[in-house]
Amino acid sequence: MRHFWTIEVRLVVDTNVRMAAELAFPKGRSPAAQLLQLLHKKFYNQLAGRQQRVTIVLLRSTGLQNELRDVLRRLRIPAEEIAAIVYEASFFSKFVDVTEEDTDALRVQAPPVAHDDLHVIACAIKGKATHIVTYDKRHLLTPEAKRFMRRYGIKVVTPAEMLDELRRLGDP
Amino acid sequence: MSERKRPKLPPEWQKAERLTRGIYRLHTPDGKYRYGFAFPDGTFTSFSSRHPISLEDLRLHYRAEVRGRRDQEMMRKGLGPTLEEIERAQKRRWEKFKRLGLVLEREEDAALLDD
Repeated sequence: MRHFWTIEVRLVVDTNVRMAAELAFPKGRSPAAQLLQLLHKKFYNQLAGRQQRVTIVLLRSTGLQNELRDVLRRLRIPAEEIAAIVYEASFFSKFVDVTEEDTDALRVQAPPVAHDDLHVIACAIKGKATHIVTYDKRHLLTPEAKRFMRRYGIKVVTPAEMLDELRRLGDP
Repeated sequence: MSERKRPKLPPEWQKAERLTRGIYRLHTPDGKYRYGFAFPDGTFTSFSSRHPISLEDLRLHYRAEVRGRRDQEMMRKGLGPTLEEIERAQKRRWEKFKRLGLVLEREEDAALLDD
């Protein structure tokens, strides 16, 4: 249930964080796995109408889903597991309709260093995200990309930083 | 599929070619094409064709999307998969990945996977 004092955190989780959560060893100590576990728990609490100070909305687009499937295929992960992971990604998140035109329009605006991840940026801007969670130091965790995202009020953080921020907000 | 049974498509999709249930090929004015998904809840989205994708994979995405949306609706009615069921499935999956030698020693290395 949402109150006037509820803080809504809207996240775009990059594919590398999803992969880290799936493949991290040991899983229990992985910030990516801990973050996704927390998001799933909060998603259930939200649907059950439980009172929460912080609610989290996870965002997805077909571009992100496509990248996830592509990476899983490249790793030769069995087909039934790919289907299960892509399904879970859609079950726990809210759909943002990002078209090719949206990503093309961003190409002019976004810094060149982030051009490989325009689908992530477009999903975050169109879905009114507050954070992008990623391990990508080459494209998204760069000063240029962070500065660009700040214009839209979006922070680019690692899973560990996101967990810290949620703790600061009073969660979990 | 007959015109009568065809779901109501957005105007810009009128020339869309139906590939299989819910999946369309949309021809754009520039002579290119992209894919379109028409969902049972009456919503639509387009899927970039910039990177080649098989019909099998398009179906995988379409099914995941339909099932995800349906299960979210069921959850609101108090039905659908429980968190414990999902966590058990994730654990089983991880054990399998470990057996296959796919686990990462440093999870930051996952950044290289989607580069």
